[in-house]
Amino acid sequence: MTEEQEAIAQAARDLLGEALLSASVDAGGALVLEVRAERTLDLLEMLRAAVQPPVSRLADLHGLDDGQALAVVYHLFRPGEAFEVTVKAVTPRQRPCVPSVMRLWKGAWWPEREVMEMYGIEVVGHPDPRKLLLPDDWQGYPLRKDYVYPLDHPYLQPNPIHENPFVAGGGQGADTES
Amino acid sequence: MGLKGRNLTQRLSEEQLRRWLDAVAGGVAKRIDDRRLKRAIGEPVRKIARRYADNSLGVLFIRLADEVLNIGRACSLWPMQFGLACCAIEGLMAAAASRYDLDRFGMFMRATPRQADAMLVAGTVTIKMAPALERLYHQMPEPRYVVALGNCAISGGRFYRDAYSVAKGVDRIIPVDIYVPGCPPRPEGVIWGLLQLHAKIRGESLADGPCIEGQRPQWRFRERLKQKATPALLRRPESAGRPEITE
Repeated sequence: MTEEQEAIAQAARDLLGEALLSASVDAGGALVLEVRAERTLDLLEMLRAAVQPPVSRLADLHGLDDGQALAVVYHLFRPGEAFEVTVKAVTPRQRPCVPSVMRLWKGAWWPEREVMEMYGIEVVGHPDPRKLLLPDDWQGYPLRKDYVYPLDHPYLQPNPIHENPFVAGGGQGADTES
Repeated sequence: MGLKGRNLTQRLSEEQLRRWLDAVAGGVAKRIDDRRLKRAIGEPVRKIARRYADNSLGVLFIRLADEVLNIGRACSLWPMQFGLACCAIEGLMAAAASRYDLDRFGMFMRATPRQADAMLVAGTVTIKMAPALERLYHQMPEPRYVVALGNCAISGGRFYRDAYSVAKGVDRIIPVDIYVPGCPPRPEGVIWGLLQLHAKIRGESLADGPCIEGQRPQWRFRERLKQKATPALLRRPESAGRPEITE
């Protein structure tokens, strides 16, 4: 960790106490701060305002499922520079929710909708919680690790005249055929 | 109940539309049943065709009428552009542009299904798009043909495994006449596929059975043609891909 990253991590630790789960550096050299989901906005506002010069450009917002817990990941940059801070808002699987960062960045509108429909993480305070890409009556959260491919949808079954990709070795699978 | 005072941009459901049509046009929606219309118009023509199919002079006239109608349909096929993804750029727009011209085949892209003969489904069909695709297919007047352009439209293509949102082939949603494989197919390949569609259209006949929804016309007339007609009438001149009546 460089001195600057160390300073930012220390400031985050002072602000959040034990809500900051970890601070590390990833393979690309970016500082990664894992925080509990309810204190996300505090940390993001600190990065935007208290750190000098501020880390204030939200480049990407996406979800993450590492098998244990769900998280929403924010990639923040200094405008014009290559200095990156990654904030992971970790939330448990049972009732995943995360505050909306739309009051800081309007550009989080659609990414948060995508996170809501793909991971099932409820983004609290989002003004437009519709589905973005999936059909409105879709059941399930596709990007979770425990998502089961919906074989009973009439358009999604493998064509029985082709090799069946869900049965090892191909051929006509008895339990997955349409 | 009327549309007065209603926001004109609000979409009505099918049931509401039907009720409004009944209220305005006095029960017209109940009386217009297009299957009945087809039978009322098409059946006398087919009866006449079948009556005159028993002698070779009749067959000659029927074949002449068939040729004229089929050439007219095939050589001015107006596709409804249904470009969804990469195949639209490579297979539809590149084929329709000046280098591999589609206009020389009489093909003029129509944006509306109401004025289109064929539907060229070019690209990946997602499950979200599938109801719209089906609705547009049903809005096309008959005779209509469907060409599945590209691997995604044939079977889901590269999204066949593990893609939760891609329909595995457009033929699960609407009946397809011609499949053009490729990812994307070259414009020459698209033109090859459209010429196969030409051949299919040229092989149809007036005396075939009615085109019931989703099924192709029954090729009943072909059997009769083989029995009654002379070999000269059965033999078609050599040209690209036109099917001979042999089976």
